[in-house]
Amino acid sequence: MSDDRNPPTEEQIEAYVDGLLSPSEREAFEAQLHAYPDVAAQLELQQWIDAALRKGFPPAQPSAVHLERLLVSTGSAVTRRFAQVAMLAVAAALGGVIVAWQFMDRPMDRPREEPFFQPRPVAEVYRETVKNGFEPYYECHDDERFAATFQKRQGIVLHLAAMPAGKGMLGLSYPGGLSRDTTAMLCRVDDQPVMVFVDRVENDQPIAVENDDSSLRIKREVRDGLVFYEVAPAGAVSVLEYLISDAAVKPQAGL
Amino acid sequence: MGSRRDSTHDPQQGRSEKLTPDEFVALYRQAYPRLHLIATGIVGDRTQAEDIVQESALIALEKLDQFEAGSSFGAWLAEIVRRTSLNYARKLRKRKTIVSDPHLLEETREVHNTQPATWPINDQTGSLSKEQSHFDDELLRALNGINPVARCCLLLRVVQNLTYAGISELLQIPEGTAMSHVHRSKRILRRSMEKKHDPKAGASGDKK
Repeated sequence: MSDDRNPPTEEQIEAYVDGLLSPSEREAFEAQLHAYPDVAAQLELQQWIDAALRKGFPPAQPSAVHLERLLVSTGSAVTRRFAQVAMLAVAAALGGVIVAWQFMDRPMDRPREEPFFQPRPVAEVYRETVKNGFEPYYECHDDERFAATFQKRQGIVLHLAAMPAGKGMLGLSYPGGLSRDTTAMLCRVDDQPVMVFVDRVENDQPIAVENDDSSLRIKREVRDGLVFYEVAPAGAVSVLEYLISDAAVKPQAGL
Repeated sequence: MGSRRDSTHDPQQGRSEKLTPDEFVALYRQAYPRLHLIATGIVGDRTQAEDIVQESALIALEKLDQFEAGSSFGAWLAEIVRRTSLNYARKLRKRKTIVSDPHLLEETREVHNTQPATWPINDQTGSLSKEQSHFDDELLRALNGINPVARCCLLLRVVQNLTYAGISELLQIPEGTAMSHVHRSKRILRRSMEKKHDPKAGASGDKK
C-alpha cells in the first residue's frame, strides 16, 4: 500500500478507519504504522471520536406514551379512511340512482333538451366585448380554418375577402347574442372596434337589434341563408361586404 | 465493510399487502433510532429531533395510503422525517436573531479556546481523563459545524453502523456521495479536535 517513501494517503486512512480495507490490506497498513506516528495518532484520535459519537448519540427509542398515542391515532386514521371509502361508495350509489332515474324519466324518443340560452341585443354583447379589451377567443388568420369555422357553426362556408389598409380582422369569438351558435368577427376599422355577428336566418331574434345607445350603429343584412349584424361606432365604415359566402364566390369564379 | 450489519432491513420490502395499524407501529418502532438520528443530524438538536420524528409519524399515518406496498417503509418514513426536519430548520433560520454583537461573541469564543487543551487518554495509564466531558463538548461543537446532510451520513454510519447502501436508501443520495460525506466529516472532526487536543501532549496540553 505504502512504504517509507510513500506514507499512507488520506484516502487510505479513511478507508482503514471506515473498515473498508480487506484483511490483507489492513495487515499491511498496520504493519507500517510504527513508521508514521502522526498517522497512528490520527487513528487513535478517530477511535476516540467514534466512541464519543456513539456515547453522545445512544439509540433513541420512542416513549411508551407516544406509541400509545400513535396506536390510538392509527385506529382513528383507519376509521377515518373507512368512513371516507364508505362515503365515496354512498355518493357513487346516489349518482347511479340519479342517472338511472333520469333515463327512466326521459323516454328515448323524447327530443334532447338544449341547455338554457337567453338571446341578447348584439349591442349589449358588443359593449361587453369592448369593455373586456376587445380580444377575440380565436385569432384566426388561416382562410381555410376561417371558412371551416362558419361551416361548422352556421352550416354555410364564409370567406373573408382581402381588406384594404386601415381595416383588419382580429379574430373570431363565440359570445352568443342570437343563439349559442352565433359567431362574431372582431375587426379594427381605422382603429375603431367593429363586430359582425353571424348566424343562420332561422336563429334571428327581434331582441338582437335593440339598441338604446345612439353612439353605436347597427347594420342588419340577410343573404345566403345567413343573418349579419354589424355593430360599430356611429360613422365607422362597414366591413360586411368583405364577408362572402361560398355561393357568392363560385359564380364569380365561373365568370 | 462486509462485516457490517445492514440495519435498514425492512420486512415490509417486497410485500404487496397494505400495512395494518399494528404493523405500522412495529415498523415505526424499529426505524425510530435511525429516524431520530436523521432529524438530529439535520436540526442539530436531540430534543427537537424527538418532536420532529413524532410529528412525522402522524404525517405518515395521514398519508399511509400513499405508501406503495412492496417499497421500503423505512425509506418512506425517513423521507418524511427529512422533509419535516428541513422545514423546521428553515423556519428556525428565518427567526434566528443575533442577541449580541457578533464580534463580541467571537472574542468570547476565542478566550474560551485559550483554556488548557486536554486529551481524553492518560498516556501512562490509558484510562479516561477527567476532561472527557470537555472532549465531548468540543466534539459536539465541531459536529455542529458540519453540513447537515454530511452529519446525517456520519451519524448513521458511526452510530447506527449502517452500510452505505442503507444510508443511500434512507437519505436518497448516491452511495459514493454518502461515503465521501462520511470520510470528509471524519477528517473535519479529526482536524478540529487535533487543534484543540494534541494527542502528543499531556493532560495539561503541553507538548512532551
